[in-house]
Formats: sequence, C-alpha cells, structure tokens
Amino acid sequence: MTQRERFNELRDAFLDGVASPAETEELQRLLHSSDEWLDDYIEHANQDAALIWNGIPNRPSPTVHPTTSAAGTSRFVRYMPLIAASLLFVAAVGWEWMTLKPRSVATILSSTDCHWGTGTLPTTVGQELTSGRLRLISGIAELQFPHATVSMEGPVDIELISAERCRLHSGSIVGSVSDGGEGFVVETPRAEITDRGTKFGVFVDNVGDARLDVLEGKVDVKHTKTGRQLTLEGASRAFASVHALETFAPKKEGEDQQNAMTPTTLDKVLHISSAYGDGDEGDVTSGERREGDSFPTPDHVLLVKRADSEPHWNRKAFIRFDLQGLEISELSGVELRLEGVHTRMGYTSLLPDSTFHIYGVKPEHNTDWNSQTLDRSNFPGRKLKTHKLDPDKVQLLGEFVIPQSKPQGQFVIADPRLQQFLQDNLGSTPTLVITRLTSVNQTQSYVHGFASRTHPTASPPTLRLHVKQTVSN
Amino acid sequence: MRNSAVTESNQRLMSDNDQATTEFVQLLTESQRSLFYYIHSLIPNRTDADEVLQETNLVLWREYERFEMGTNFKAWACTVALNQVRAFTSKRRAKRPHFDTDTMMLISERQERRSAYLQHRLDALENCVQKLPERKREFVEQRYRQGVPVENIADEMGSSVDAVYKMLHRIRETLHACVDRTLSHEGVGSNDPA
Repeated sequence: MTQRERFNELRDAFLDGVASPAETEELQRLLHSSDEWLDDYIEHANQDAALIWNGIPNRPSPTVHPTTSAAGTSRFVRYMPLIAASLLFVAAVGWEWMTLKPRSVATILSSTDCHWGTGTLPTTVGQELTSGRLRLISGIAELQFPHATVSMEGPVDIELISAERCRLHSGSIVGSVSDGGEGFVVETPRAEITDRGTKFGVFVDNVGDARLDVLEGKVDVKHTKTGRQLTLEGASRAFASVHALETFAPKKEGEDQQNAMTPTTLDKVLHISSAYGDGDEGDVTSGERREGDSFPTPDHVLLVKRADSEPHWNRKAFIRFDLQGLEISELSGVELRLEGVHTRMGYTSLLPDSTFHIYGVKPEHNTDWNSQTLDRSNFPGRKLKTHKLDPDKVQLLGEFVIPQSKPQGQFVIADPRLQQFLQDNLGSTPTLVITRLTSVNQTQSYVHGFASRTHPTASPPTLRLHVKQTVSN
Repeated sequence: MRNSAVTESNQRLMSDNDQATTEFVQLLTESQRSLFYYIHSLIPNRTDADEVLQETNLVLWREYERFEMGTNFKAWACTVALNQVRAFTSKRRAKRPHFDTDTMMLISERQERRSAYLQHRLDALENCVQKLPERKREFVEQRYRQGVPVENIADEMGSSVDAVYKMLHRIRETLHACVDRTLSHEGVGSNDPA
C-alpha cells in the first residue's frame, strides 16, 4: 500500500467515525506533514458535510437575505414564514439557554477572610453555583469547577459562564486544571485564554487590560481585537491591551511577586473603580417615595434626574473611590469615566441634551456612608433640614453633557478642578456627587443612569489616574 | 403633542429591538450551513457536529451584544465554534477519537485561508451529485441525507459492511474528481488566493 492509499484509508475511516485512536494519531501526523493531504482532508470533510447538510430537515434555511428598502412588501411577505421560523428558532435557542442557566457550574471550595461584594450568586462554602457573577472585595476564595480550580484574590469580579468557562472582568485569579480539564477558558475583555493542562495566573485591570502568567504547562491566548493567537509554554507571560498582545521573556531569577503584580508600572496609569477597596456608590431620591412594583427601577444602575416641576423625583448619585495606600505623590492627569446605560424610565425625547455636574464633597463634610444605609436624610454634603446639596459642603469639579439621542456609552470627564480635588484627597476616600443641571417642566422626562459596579456588562465608575511620580514599594 | 412624542419614542425603542433581533436572525441563519461545514471538518460526526452547532448558536445568541456590527460575523462565529468543539472534545463527550488542539488549529487556519476556493468546490458539488448513477445517488441519499447506518445499508443491499465502506470511498472519490474537473474547466485553480 502506498502512503497515499494509506492516507485515504485513514481519512475515510476518520470521516466515517470508525478510526481507532492509533489511526487518528497516524492521520494527524500525516496532516501535519503535508499541505496537500491537509487540503485533501478539508475538501473531503466539507464534501461530506455538504452531503449531510442538504438532507438535514428542520434547519432554518440559510437563504434568508436582508430585505432591503428596495424590496417590496410582497417579497417581505414571501419571506415572512422563513423569518417567523427563524425567530422561533432563536426563541427556542434563547429558551434552551435560559433553562440551562440554573445548572450548577462550580462550587465554592474555601474562603479565607472573605469580604464579598454584591454579586448574583451565593457565597457560602460548599454552595453549588450556577452561572452568574461573583465579586470578592478582599480575601481569598477558591472555586472548584469540574476539572479546574480557580483561586480568586480579592478584589475580583468574575462571571461564571459554564463548567468550562468563566469571564474575569477585573482582578487576579490563579487557575489549575486537572486531567480532562484541558480547554478550560478564561475570557477577559482583551483576550481569551484557553488552558491546555496547566497552572496559570491572570490579572485584569480596571480598564480590561490583561496579563497572563503561565506558571506550568501550556496555555493558548487569543487577542480579541486582532485575532492574534499565541501558545505560551513554561514560565512565560503575555500582556493584552486594546490594540496588542505581547509576550514577555521568561521571568528572571529573583524577580519577585511584587514586580509580577505591577507590569504596567511603565505607563504609570492607575485605574481605580468604585468596586476597589473601600469604594462605594449609591443614589438618593429627594422625595419620600421610591418606585414600587408598578414602576420598578433598573438594577445595577445609579440614577440621576432633575425635574423642577416634580422635585420629589430628583435624584443624585454618590460615588466613593478608595485612594488610600496608593503611595502616589503627584497626579499629572485625571479622568473620571462613567458609562451611561439606558434606564427605560421616562422618555429621552422629552428632554434636550443634558448637562451634568460633578461635585466633590469637601473632606471635612465627607461622612462615613455606605450604599446600604444611604438615603435622602443622611447623604454626605447635605444641607441641613433639606434633601439638597449644601453649596458650602461641596465644590464643583466639572461638568459634562449627555446628548438626547445617546444616553448610553462612555462619558469621560477630565477637568483641572477634578484633578486638584483628587490630588488633595490622595490617601483618603473622597466622595463625588453627580447631579443633573438640565431640568424640564415635563412629567415622564427621562431618568439618566450610569452603570454601577454591579452592572453585569457595563463598566463601573472609574478614575484613571496618571501618576507623575510613584514611590517604590 | 406629548402623547405623540411618547408614541414615537416607544416605537423607536421597539424598532431598535426588532432591528437587532432581525439582524441577529439574518446573520445566524446565513451562517448556519458554513458553520456546520466548519464544525464537521473538526469533528466529523453528524450528531456531534449538530450538538456543537447548537451550543455555538447558544453562545452567539448570548454574546450577540458584544458583536461589533460591520465586522465579520462568520469569522467571529467560527472562533466561537472552534472553542465549542474544543470544549466538547475536552469534556470527552465525543465518543470517537478526535483531533488534538494543534491539528484543529491547523485545519481551521488552512480552511479559513482557502475559504473562497472551498466555496467554489461546494458550488460545483451539487451538479456532480446529479451526475451520479441512480444507484449511487440512492446510496448518497441513504447514507448522508438520511443518516442510515452502514450496517443497515449492507443488510438491505445484501452485501458486506466492508463492501459498503468501499462503495462509500468510491463515491467520495468520484465526487471529488468530478468537482476537480468542473473547477478545472471553469479555470478555478486550487492555488487561487482565497
């Protein structure tokens, strides 16, 4: 038998599902040895798939084309059954996904000195967890997936997706995978990391940049934006920013963990979100009433509104950042980033482009507040016997505008007053207040919303600090 | 006046939602066939490939908000599918021997580079199936389209299982050669850039 004949035999056996493990191994070796055979395999596999596909019933037809404006009603009507069938398919898919959700994906194996933040999952040891979000503010906790153990070092914000997949929104984890766990995936905002039987650490900072440290074994990493893919082996490291995925040389002897934790020291930018340390956030309504079941407020959103005709519905948002222990002597620049999210409360069309004010609560009036107890009678910077801010207790740090047409998306505020305020409050936990300046005498005008630190997809309020000079640790 | 503004706003919200769903349905529907081909090349079994395709669809649906309109949906979907195939095989749910990650990556990348050429081949295939003698076409119908097990076909034909596999091999090669000839007549070379 010639090698070609042997290849054909192996290829067909594999495609027919009757190849043994040894034959599969032999076929793999041949595929790696020649592009000609690789092409032949792909062509035959595609040919088989086409012959199968043409006969599979009940699949949505692949021939739905977008109805362009030029397409007449009759064409739309002709495609209606197809579109309806496809929508049913999607609905079925969505349903299946929802019914799959409650399935247990991991267990909390242990927790040490854990201070849990607001997440969507229970946090007791031994608890079986379904897919959902966990926030660990401080301490160390271990999650046991079926074939992988993940240690979280607070602060961590992690989302459990399935038994083989999680998404690290921010913070550090160390993963180790047992036999059969190859293929465990850690998604990060900039890159996807696929374990190939190993131990590895991942750190995601507050803007989503990720660092991967392979401690043992092999890991694949794929950059989300460029699609660049790398395989890291042994003690090695990669760094994924928005635009690039870079590898670093293996760690030099003597390089300690402290250095490993701060690979971004070169760019001297720190990101502090309201989820970090003693950070906190909340909003207050000026009137007594809060919405009940008949008009529920959205979750995970900080609400801001001003309507002089209905002052009892005015709302302010409070955000505290933890700038303690940063050991920064001077800031060269500061940005506050807020992510607007749709609240579906009221109507944007009833409101023009809106101006917002950012205030800082003067340090002497920055009371010790927390999101659980914050209300209209005890917020920091309050004017006595009112539910308003006291101009003497706060200072204006900047303003920004949200267009009527786009209340969602990133809003970045950079103002010398904000910079100076934060410079003066380094080493403490300053509180910022967001209010809306724009008011309309119109009921049902829109309530603006900003993602809170518990929002499942949008970014929490974040300070981006450009550090002029750092004191070495 | 206020009511009309409210209605307009409502309509806009609804149409935004509808539009996003419709776009997703279109993209998903259009990509189903090529996704199946792609998955099948990595895990060539009808049932397994079907299961992975369904799981891929779930992820695409769940993650659709993250998809950037205007970028290549098919490429994104294939990446999701590759991960699902790997998850499927690593969980050992695949009952048959399967390729390792290196081989999957090799196949995936090569397939992507040659996607235009492979599409030409698929276009030519249908005509080649029509040219098969009646008996072989019937065989293709049973084995591929209906998924009848080889053993049953052997029983029905009164021949051995081995003989059925040989026939399957000959049909594969006949169709492959027919597609080669068709493309050669059309002047499509296998080295044409994708």
